[in-house]
Amino acid sequence: MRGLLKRNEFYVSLTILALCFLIQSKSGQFFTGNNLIDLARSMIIPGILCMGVLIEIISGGIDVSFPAIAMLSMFSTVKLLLYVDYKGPVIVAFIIAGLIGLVLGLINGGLIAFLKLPTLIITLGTGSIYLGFMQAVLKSRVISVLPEPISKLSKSYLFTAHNKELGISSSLPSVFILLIVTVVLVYFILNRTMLGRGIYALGGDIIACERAGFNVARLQYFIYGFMGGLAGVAGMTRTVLTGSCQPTTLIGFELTCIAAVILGGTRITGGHGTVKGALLGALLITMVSNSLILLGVPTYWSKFVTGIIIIIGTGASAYQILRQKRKLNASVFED
Amino acid sequence: MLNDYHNMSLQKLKALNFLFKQPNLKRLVIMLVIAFAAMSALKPNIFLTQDYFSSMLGLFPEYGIISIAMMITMISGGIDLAAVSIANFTGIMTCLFLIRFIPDDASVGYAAMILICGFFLSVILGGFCGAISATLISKIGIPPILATLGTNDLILGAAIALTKGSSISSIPPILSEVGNYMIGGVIPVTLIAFIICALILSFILSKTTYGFKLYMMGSNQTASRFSGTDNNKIIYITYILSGMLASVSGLLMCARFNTARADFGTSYTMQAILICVLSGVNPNGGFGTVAGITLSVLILQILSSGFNMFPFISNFYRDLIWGAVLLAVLLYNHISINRQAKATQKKAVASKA
Repeated sequence: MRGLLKRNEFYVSLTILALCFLIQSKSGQFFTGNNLIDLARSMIIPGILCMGVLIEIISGGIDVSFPAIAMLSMFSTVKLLLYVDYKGPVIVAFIIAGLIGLVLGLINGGLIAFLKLPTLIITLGTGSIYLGFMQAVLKSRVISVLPEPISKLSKSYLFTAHNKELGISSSLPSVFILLIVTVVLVYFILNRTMLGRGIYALGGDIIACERAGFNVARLQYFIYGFMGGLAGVAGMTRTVLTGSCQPTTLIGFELTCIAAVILGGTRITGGHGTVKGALLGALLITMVSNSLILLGVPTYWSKFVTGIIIIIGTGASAYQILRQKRKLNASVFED
Repeated sequence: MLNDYHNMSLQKLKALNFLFKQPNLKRLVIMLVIAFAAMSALKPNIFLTQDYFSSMLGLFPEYGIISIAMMITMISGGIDLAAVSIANFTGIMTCLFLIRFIPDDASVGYAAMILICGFFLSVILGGFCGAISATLISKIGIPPILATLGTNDLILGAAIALTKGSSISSIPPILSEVGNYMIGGVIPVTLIAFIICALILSFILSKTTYGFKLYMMGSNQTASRFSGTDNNKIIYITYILSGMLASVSGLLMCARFNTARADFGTSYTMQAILICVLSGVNPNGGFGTVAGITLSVLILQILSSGFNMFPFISNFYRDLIWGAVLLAVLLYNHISINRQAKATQKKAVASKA
């Protein structure tokens, strides 16, 4: 029980529950089928990206270039498929986007492994290059007519819920499966493989990790390559969800994802973090941005509210660590 | 008498030596000269005109001041991602204040007085915003990246909510008149603002105990704590100073556009980090000078004004080029540090033998 009280996931779950009932009592619209499906739908992109961010933060790094990777791989894939007038299975689009993302991510990983500098600054640089490349060299603009396989996928749903009261219905897109696959994959990597152990070790202490026999450079290549690949897939998913290719659609998403992962109890200093926590964090952030309208809060307050949630969420866990440290110091001085 | 003269020239020599003993500053001066020479050689009829110079000198203070703010937080081992939001927020608040207190038929003297009040109000507000970040970092223990990310969202959110997402116009004309004034028709006021900020900050960093302790804390937080420094106090002063500088930059932006918005200068955060790294500020803390920042701001402004002369280079290329310059500088620093380390190792081996 004491362990439960110390866990961030517990507090995040409590906040989510409280928010659920608050919205339900205010609007009476929360526990309706279509609202829950809308929520699940908005979870897809942040959910997929958060899994990559989780791995990075556990390893002690941080990446702000992944939205640029996602947008660049999404745009170039759609452009390529339109150019060759592609008609085959849609999975190829995801594979191409994933591969482009993988390459861009590997560039990040290579620079990080070689330069050994704060990952934030390196990825700021590469992110800026990727974004500039897309906007300047590829002359990106909104593509509203998608290749046929992609537009077909964006009209395929798993199931639909009707809200008789309001006369609207929401459908769960098929790409929701991608989120499930990603979560299972990341859970497996982190908890069942030597690679996962290495990622946790890298975040705990890079020198100890090296001494323990892990190849740090190879780990970093994997971590940032994986994030790049995921970003590519997520970018493609975004195109499928919105039904058009908007090149600037994910700008500013990096902060949302990092905030979500940190809210879920992952320590920014590395070495700690769970898939469950990251998902809960993503759910909370999505709920806040989705449900403010249901609460009657004007949308231009949403940034303010996410700011408060980030501060409270990260503050709760940071304060506990600080108190533990102080206790430790106090006992040292008493002796 | 002769001895005195001798001493003086010796001191001068030492000062010169100091400049060239700092390899970073030397390199920056060389880069500046090369950038300047290249641009003047490519388009002398546009680049080497007085108007072009005046506009160039008027533009860089906005992000130059933000870069100084970023530098002091980076010296402390942190980062201030909220600086641009603070600039916009204080800009909006000051504009609202000016609109409220300057009637349409106000005399120039009265309007100027209110403008000065508004300036101080904005600086105090900026300091207060910085104090929020400092509290989160020192008292709660949130890492600076995240804490300032949070305050960034918070302050940006407040700014958006204040303006309801649109812009504030019909600001009393005195602000833009003062902000866009050219002294003698050549030197923009904004340049003077930058020079004053730079001088104050370089005095604080090099001549006060706070400055000394800031560098010390940035190099090693534990050592600084055990030598009796109140780290929390240093963090507070640092982020309050950073917020104050940001608010000055915010006013400059409002004056230039003659409106206040929540999303001015969103690219300045990235640019400020780039300028800091270019000038040799160590992202892990402990290093950085105002002189370096000034030089690298000038380099960047020359490059970006230079690209403006070529119509076929779209604005979007700027992102690409900034990113590439940042990575190139990082790579160069990495290689030169490695070479130095190897050279000293060789020396040590040779002296042993």
